[in-house]
Amino acid sequence: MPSRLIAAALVAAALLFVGAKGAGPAPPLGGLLDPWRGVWSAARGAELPPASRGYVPSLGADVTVQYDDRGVPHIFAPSVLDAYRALGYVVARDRLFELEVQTRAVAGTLSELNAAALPLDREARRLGLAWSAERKWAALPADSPVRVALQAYADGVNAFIGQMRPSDVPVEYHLLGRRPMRWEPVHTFYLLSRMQQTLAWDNDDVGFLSTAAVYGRDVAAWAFPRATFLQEPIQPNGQREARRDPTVIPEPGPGDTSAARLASLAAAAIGPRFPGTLTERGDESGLGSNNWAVAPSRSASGKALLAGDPHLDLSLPSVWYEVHLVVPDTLDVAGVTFAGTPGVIIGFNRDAAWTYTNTGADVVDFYAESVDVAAAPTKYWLDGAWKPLEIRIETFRDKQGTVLQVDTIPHTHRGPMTRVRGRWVSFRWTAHETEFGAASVQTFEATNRVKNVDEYWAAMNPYGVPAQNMLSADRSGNIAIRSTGKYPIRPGNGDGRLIFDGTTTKSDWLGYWSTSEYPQSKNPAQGYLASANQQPMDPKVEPRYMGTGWAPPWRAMRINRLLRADSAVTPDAMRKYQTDPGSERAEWFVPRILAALDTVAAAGPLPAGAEKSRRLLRSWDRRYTIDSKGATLFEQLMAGLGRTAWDEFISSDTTSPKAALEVPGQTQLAQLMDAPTSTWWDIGSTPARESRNEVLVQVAAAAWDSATKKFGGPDDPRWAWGSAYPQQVPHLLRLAPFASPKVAVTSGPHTLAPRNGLSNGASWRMVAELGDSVAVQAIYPGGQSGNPFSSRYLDRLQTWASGQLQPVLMPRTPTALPADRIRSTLTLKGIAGGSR
Amino acid sequence: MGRQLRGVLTIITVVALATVFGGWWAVPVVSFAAGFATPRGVRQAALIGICAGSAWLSLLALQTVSGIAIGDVATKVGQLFSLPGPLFLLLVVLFAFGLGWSCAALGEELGARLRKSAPTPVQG
Repeated sequence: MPSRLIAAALVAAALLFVGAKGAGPAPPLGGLLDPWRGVWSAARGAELPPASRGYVPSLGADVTVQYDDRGVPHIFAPSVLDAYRALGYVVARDRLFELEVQTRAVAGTLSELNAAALPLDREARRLGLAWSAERKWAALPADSPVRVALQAYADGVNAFIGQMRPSDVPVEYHLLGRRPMRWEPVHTFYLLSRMQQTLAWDNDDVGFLSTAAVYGRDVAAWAFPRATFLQEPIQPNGQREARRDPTVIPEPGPGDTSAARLASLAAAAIGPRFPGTLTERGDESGLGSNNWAVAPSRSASGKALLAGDPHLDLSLPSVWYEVHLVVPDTLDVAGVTFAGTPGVIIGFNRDAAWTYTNTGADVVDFYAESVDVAAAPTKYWLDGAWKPLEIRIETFRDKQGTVLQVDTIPHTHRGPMTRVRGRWVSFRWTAHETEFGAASVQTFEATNRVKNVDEYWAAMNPYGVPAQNMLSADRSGNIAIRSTGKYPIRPGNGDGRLIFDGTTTKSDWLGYWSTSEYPQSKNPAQGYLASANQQPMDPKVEPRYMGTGWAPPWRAMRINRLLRADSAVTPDAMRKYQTDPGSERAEWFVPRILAALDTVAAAGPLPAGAEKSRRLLRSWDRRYTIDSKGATLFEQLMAGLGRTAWDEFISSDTTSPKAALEVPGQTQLAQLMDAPTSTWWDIGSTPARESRNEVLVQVAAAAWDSATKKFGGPDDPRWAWGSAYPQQVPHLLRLAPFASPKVAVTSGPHTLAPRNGLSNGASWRMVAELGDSVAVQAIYPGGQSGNPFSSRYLDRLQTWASGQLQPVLMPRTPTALPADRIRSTLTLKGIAGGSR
Repeated sequence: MGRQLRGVLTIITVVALATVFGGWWAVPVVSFAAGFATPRGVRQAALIGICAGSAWLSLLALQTVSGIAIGDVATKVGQLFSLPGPLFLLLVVLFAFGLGWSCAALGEELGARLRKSAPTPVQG
């Protein structure tokens, strides 16, 4: 019957089409729904088998990998290169999609997975991330140990990809209708570029110039200060408590027109802000890492102690992968590695332990360039002559390979150029310097074998970027910290908050600080060391410009207070400090807020909301515990205070110069609290001139109303801090079903476990005790597997959320791991049928 | 066991095994072949479609009883498509059924036409 035939033909054609090609945003349905090879297979491959075998063709000899009950692979290899091959294999086994998506984010090829990512791709390539990674790779000699190590790692990744069964394919590939791409050694440089972008892409130049453009350079210099007004530096300055330096809060002045032009150039050159960078001064409360070490003289056991908790935007799977590498008589190191990088980044061996916080120095500068043809430049003017530009054509494709966009990006000797209103601006960034490429791999690798803190410092001497406050401790009882990274020496007064003249090499960097000039300390008299992204050196000791992107000093003050008060520190105390609910910020603001409200109340009754706020704040212990009511109210109040006090920096009119301003940070607000009649307190939208106390009354009343509206009353369970501000770890692609559940956690903005939203927090916590042996406890949120259907995907979340740590196993041999702790054994062989 | 039941079980088994070893394309190929082999005048495309859907459902059931978290996959992946887990599972079965029925119907039609045009054997 023709109608039946037509219907069958139409249905078959439609289903075959959507089965093979997909429809709209949906991937090809055939491959997705296939009950054996489709999305379901991800569940079949979710758990590690008790025993398995793999092949890595380039292996020199067999490698044994034992996974313990925390999902950590202990890799026992005959050589370091075989250990890296095995590491590549096991990371690919657990984190294959993460490897690819992080790489594509830097390469600017996410649009090949989803065309909607084109703006992100254009931005990544405009920043030159892949360009610099490829130059670093190309600069490696053929026999470079770094090249050989990266190739070994890539061999391991590709060996896994080559042997994948359908159940090994990560679920994300099914959803995208893609197959995993081959891993190239240069991809490791891509990943490192991504971390450099997150940690060393400092945007304060725009903030400084924009503020100067509207309110003058004095205000800009105050809002983006070279020195923090509360000094608790990383390099101890001999003081027993944080020092408050006198500051003068400048009144709003006339805008600086030259700064306005430069600000627009810099803003366009920098482009959109990226999450995870220290750029949003008004939103800086959730970012920040901590580390500290205690000398034997102040520990209960007489052993050196070390703690570290780097904070990043959290994701599932984590940016970290925990691993243990053993090569007899050569290497025995455990800790976390970035998925895609050979060796351990943060961790410990049999003799020493190390960890990092971000330094946040200014390592990027902008240059106004002159070119031959503004529309399509081929040369730039330098020292009185035309110099050829390096032209890079960037082609963007979708998943079918169709060209979506072609960008032409010229480069000067300093770096990529961007055209802004007919002017071209280039930038130089330490992350682009080819000479630091090999060092970024080689130094981390070298730390894995150090015997003591001196060797650790020596291993890190060539390290370039991102500058890190590198803390180490050893079994001999030494503790040391050094803010290591290349700090540019600039011409003139050395200040980097400018747009430099690009037509002369006199504007170029003159070199870098020597390592002896880095902020540093070893075995200080105070018996401990601590860093929390604060200004690393007291400006009275080192007045040179390093940057302005220092985190507010609250966390540094808190950990110093805790460590000064404890002369017999234990590992468990260190663990508790990592989630200490105390807040130096609250200790600063709450008494001042209460004093202001009390003053107003003495003259007459407060509005009802303000009075209720006053009572609750007075009863609050200033700790961000899960059941705290005061913490919830205080954060409502602080949010309102920031918006009201800094109304001069906020505009809903996008054409207004104010719309481009960054709201000053908490340290400026802290100073303003002690200037009750400052002009900044005045609310611009009212005819009256408000003072601090009037603003605080308004804000306190509004905070109560806002909190009541959001969370019911203070007796409502939703008002409790843990319910009002829970934590959630999102999936790498922000796929909601694969996110973690929301969990209540102790800690809040500017505490030692800072957070300002759902998804940032401590990406790894570690406490090490170094005596006769090295005993370590650690945790990170999430789990070792990137498979959302694996029991190892989220198995660490609750432990992490409760502030607990897990003892880290470090067996010397495969037989040393207790049998009841072994979950899976993987044997890697060189060639099928036997090793070679 | 009746002949038709044996036929049904055979098609289910063949579709399931072909899916395991060949992927989702097994459904249209096997269904078309089964339809093509259907004797002239018999209409069983719908039955073949049901067999295809049953084959895929069986593979999911087999994995579920093996302890694989198929329900978890259905729930979470279904959410991505704004579908409850059971509806996402139904989508899988309907996809296989639709492919099976349509390709079997095309096979039946082609087989019938070819057989109709073929010369009739003459007994001598």
